[in-house]
Amino acid sequence: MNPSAMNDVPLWVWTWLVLKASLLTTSGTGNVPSLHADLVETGHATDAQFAEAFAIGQVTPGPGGLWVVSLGYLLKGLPGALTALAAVCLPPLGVLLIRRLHERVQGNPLVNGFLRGLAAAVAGVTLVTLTRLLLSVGISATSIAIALGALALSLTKRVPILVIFALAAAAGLLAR
Amino acid sequence: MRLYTLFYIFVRIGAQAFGGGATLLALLHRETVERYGYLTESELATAWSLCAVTPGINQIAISALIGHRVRGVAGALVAVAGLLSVGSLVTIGVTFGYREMQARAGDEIEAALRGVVPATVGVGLITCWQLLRPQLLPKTPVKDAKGRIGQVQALVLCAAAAALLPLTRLPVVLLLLASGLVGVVVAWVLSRVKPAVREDAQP
Repeated sequence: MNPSAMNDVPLWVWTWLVLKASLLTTSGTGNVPSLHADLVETGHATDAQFAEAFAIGQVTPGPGGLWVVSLGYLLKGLPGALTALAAVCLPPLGVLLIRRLHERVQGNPLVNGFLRGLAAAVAGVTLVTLTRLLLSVGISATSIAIALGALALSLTKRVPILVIFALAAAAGLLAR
Repeated sequence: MRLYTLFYIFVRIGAQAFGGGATLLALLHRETVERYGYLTESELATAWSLCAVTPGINQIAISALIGHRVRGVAGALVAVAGLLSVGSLVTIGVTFGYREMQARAGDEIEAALRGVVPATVGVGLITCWQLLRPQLLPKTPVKDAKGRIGQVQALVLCAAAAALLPLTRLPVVLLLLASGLVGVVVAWVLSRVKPAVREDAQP
């Protein structure tokens, strides 16, 4: 990847990409696949940057969706971080507009059908993105063991995410 | 309720909200239901359900809803600003520190990253499960064909999206919208299907 590739992307385009990705998901990390497609696959960011930003978003306070703020900082410095923050704030503020409408359509089978279809597809494309992330560091017995170990520890809901990533980083250091 | 008090309440919530929506919901319950009585437990649950279907970060949406309830639009903006203030500052700070460390200890950082990236994948798999679980394992046990069709639909659409994305290189947005439309069509068809009449049903 050309290190200065992201410099060629105007700030407003970066902001639009974050906004677009956030509009079509109902979770803070559901925008990962869309941004991955727009940035990594076009050579404007790397899988490593995505993984770094995602990990930072999980271990810092507040919504995990703030990972895009970290990505924005990695790619475009403070302006990128701040515009990403603004972009992820806009879609959820729409709840103020739709709360009355929701009272009317809540339970509408067609609306629920759309949301179910959307959620299933987001899960599918997220799997693809996760696979690509794993491929970026190479699939080996060590990487698979770390992934499964992190999954198992997360499922217990007793181990803080910060501890999981610290253990994974230590495993990476030991394995080199 | 003064705006700066509302802001401070959500700063406190945001600074402690590690680990996702469940933690935030518990914090919101403690502050907005138990301590200040902005809304009832039932209202909080309803608001959270609404936010689950709102685009973007659910935690921002529910903060906006509660803030709006307390002080209108200004309250919504103040609540969101409070929620995100600590998190965004810490995130930027940690990212800055990480980048500085990367410049000084690049080999060690790269080795650590070779561990963190797979862990990210493992944790990310939970996100996938959380998206599918309401359809695969709904709270009300599946007892009829419609329910089974819903489960099959979820698996098929998930698999289709996972297969089509790398094979066709279609834009992700199109894939998501298409899947949503399939969900609409299936829901429409199922709404037209009359329940089967049981053989032992009384006339």
